[in-house]
Amino acid sequence: MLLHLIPALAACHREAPQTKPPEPPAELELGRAPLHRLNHAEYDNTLRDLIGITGHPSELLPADEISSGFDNVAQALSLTSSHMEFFERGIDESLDELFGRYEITEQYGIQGEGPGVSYTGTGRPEGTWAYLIQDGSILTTLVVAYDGTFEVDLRGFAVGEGASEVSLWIDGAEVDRFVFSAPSSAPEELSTQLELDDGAHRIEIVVLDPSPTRAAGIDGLQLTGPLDPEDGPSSTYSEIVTCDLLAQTSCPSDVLSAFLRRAWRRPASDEAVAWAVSLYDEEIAAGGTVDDGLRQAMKAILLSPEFLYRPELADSPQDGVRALDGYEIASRLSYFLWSTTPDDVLLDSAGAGELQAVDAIEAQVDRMLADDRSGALIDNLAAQWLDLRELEQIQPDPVAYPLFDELLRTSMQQELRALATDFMDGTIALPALLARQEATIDRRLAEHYAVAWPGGEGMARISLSGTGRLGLLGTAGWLATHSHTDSPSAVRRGKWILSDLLCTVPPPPPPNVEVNLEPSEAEGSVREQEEAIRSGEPCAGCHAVMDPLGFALGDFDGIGAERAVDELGYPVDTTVTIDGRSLTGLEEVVGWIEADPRLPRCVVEKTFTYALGRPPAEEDQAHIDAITADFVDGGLTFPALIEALTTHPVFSSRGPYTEPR
Amino acid sequence: MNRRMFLRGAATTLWLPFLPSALPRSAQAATSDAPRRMMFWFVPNGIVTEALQPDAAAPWTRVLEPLAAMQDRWSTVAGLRNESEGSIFGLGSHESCTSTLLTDTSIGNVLSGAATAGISVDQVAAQQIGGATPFPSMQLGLDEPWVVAGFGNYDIYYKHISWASATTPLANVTSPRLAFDRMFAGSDPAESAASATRRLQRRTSVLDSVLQRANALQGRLASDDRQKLDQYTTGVRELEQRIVALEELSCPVPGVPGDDPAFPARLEAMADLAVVALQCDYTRVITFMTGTSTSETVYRWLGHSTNHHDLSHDYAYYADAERQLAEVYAWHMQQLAAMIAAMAAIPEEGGDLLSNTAITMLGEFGDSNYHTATPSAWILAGGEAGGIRQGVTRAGVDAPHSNYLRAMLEFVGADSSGFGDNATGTLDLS
Repeated sequence: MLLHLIPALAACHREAPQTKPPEPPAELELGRAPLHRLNHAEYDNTLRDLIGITGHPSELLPADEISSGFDNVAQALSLTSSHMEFFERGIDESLDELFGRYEITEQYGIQGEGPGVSYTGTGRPEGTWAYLIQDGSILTTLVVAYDGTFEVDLRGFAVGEGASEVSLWIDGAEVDRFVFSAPSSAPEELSTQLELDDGAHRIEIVVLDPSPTRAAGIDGLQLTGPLDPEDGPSSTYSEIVTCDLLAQTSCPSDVLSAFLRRAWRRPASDEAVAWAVSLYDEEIAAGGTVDDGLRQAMKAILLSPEFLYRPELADSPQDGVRALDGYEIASRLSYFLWSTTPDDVLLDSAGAGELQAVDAIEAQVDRMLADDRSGALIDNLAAQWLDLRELEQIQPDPVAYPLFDELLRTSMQQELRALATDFMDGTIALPALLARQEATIDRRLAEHYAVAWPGGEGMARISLSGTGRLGLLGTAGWLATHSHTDSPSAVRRGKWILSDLLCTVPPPPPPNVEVNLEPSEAEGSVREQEEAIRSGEPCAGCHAVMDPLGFALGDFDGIGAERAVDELGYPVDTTVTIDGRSLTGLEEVVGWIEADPRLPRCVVEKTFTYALGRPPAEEDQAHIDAITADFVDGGLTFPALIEALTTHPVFSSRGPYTEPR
Repeated sequence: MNRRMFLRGAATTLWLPFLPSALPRSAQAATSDAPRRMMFWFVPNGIVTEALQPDAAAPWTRVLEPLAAMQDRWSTVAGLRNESEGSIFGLGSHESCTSTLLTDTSIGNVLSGAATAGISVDQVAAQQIGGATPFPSMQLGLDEPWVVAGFGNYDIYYKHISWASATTPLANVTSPRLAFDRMFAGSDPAESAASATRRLQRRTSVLDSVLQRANALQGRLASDDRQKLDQYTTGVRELEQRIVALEELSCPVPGVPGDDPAFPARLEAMADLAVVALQCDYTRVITFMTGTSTSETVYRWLGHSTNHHDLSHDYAYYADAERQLAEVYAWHMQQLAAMIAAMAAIPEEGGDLLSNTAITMLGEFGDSNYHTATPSAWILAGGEAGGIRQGVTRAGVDAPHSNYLRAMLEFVGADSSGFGDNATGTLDLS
């Protein structure tokens, strides 16, 4: 268990709890996280909620470090001058959007080869261009940041006799057709215009000519737009500027005071308001307009440490345990459940002194989970725990898995998201997350799973009984993510089960033994050959548990389709021995996992780490146990876990300073 | 005209020739001694030592061929030892060899959230000579698929070779467009001096004011939080210096890099920007990670279907994998050859841009299958103006790799004393 891997945190310098009401339980011991910088998702969402931006300014920032499985661990979130540089730029661009002085024409492009570009049929990349013949198509997804009219430029040429015609499909609908007659030495560029909403769009180029002697070469596709960017302040502007800046002398300080409260997540001190107003005044004195002044002050507010971090103040450099104030609790709740800033309701509740009471927290949690913003739990907690983010990156080998394409990836993602959503909203409890014998899938996955499709489009809930497939570990998305590019990986699957469901992290392999097995047909099945290699020292100790869990899932190949034989043609053997028990196949492994008391505790540990931005310390182990007990009593539903965690003192208290080790 | 409109307008401009008359003022002024620069080009998954031996057997013979035309401008340095490679697991590993590559300092065994390494050679240089340029150093990279090892807390060690301090790894800018923007955004030649001054004032005024906030907040934080806030204060100060310094530079704006997502195109675009950055004195210190350690890039344009990390193990067992790995290296050499040729074509005091720049191409391993960095072989190009002898083979130098890194510090005029846990001196490259 993680418990054994965390060196004891020396509890030195523990001071008497401060006298701020209410007192945390006198005996409370807990770990703590240092000053927490907003991570990418938190920064984007916070700017969205404060000033109504639609883009993702975090895309400019260096990637967040991942620690303990999450990208919101305070200790690992550093800040360098590059961060400041890109915070400044992102905030400038966000304010451009708010004040309506923006020029948002962007270009998005694809070429023959690259991440996120795939092919179907006889389509294939040919250097930097795409070669489409007969039924070939090229497929990609482009994300646009704004609504509006876009121009699509398609650069291509004809290969073979005569002209080649291709069809452009966006989001499943044909947009236009293009006839290329130019030779490859001088590709021609053809254009069309269309309306797009912001967000991701599936773009497919299909060749229309069935002739095997004529092909189309696609040199590139470029999307430019919107061509009709909105001008003038965005609608959020009037929500922020609620008075006449020119006519009312108190207006600037009223506007800035209200904005400070939202941006810094607590009421602004007089000193802070004066500071912001001085920036406003300075800009006006230099000849700027009232909007220039406001913008300058808002920029400073958003670049301040009180915005970019979530400070929890101390009375002394080596402070002791203390209860959080209402605003601090409001921030913890909203960044946990929503990955964004507290809304007015939460801030008002904090201001009214309600959030120290358990029932008020419960009421807020219920309200917040019902709000759309709680989708952040899927995007950030579930997506990292269940490796949905890795599913975006996997590149199955097209030779080993010709069936895999971007559409299948999307179908896999949809299923995993639907399953995670069912768990997180309480529709199903933890046992069903692993053992449910139905799946919410689309037609493509139904074919992949060889189950009957009831007809119609979209997603449907389909019974899996009798297929041998069930729950999370039976989803094609999970199975594919924990595979090699050209074969399933017993090690990756087993290791994930141990480390992410049971929180028993196997140590990394000794460094000089990483041998990439290239099994040969003469020497038995892949499993036998892998077992032969890993049965000796120093491998056996860890692999003895890790590999059997993976081998038991051998009925499913590297993209999660069912299989009867391995890559060498040997029948798959899914009977394994774990803890002296013989288990066969996915279903029995799931039964073994579910009987393990480490399972619910591990889900609590993961959630705790994400919620508090720190892995549990030794002092927190008893709290983890208590929350786990409540989780079990609450029927193992995720909402029960959230309630147990958010109402526990470990959530609403700040741990003591400990000397860095 | 705002920044984006300007950039869009610039998208159609071609690369301008960099004539001496177009050099930045600072470079022109340096008639007596042109600035010295250092660059590290990281090839993920290591470079097996036999690949760089002059008498290598097939298929390695082809590796250095792309550099043949520039024969007298580079050399090999073989027999380097990374004596910090065993930190954490006792033996070399992707994480330890990558994060000690430019530090030669033991890394910490991370299980509770914090990663610790040492300050890297580029940052020692940046601290001493970086003040002269808007970017004390640049971390360039390419975002490539890699084995997400899943040993959660160790991920950090795969992704960085540049560390500003024991606890601050520096992230790579992985988008050529962004790397371009950092240098050239806002450099609108049509803008009036008054308008530029006003724009600068606005920015520095905001940064000054947030520093006040940080100072006020500092006193109300506990010690551990103060350490975090120190990063903020340093970051703001550095940004402020950079903004001012950028205004001082006037360099012809090259074409905006395209959005081609293919790996070769991104690598080329990044290498082009590195040349511009060094030439125009935006920075004198660059690290370029062409992938994260364990990179799984498939070099499909070479006809490969096995990813780079797999090849870096399989080569030891299968001739076909060995051939493909040699092709991967040769491809990197081809890119390096293009870069040094471009630098050699830019005249400077003391010869050319290349003779004032020491470029090291290196990987984290000398034997990628066994994950060991001892011995390693690297390629060193340029730097002749600082006494580096080129066109030679340095075999069996048998020295800690930090002795080599110290030579790089001394090349740029930085004090190298104390650098590297295992350094025993400075490697003689003359």
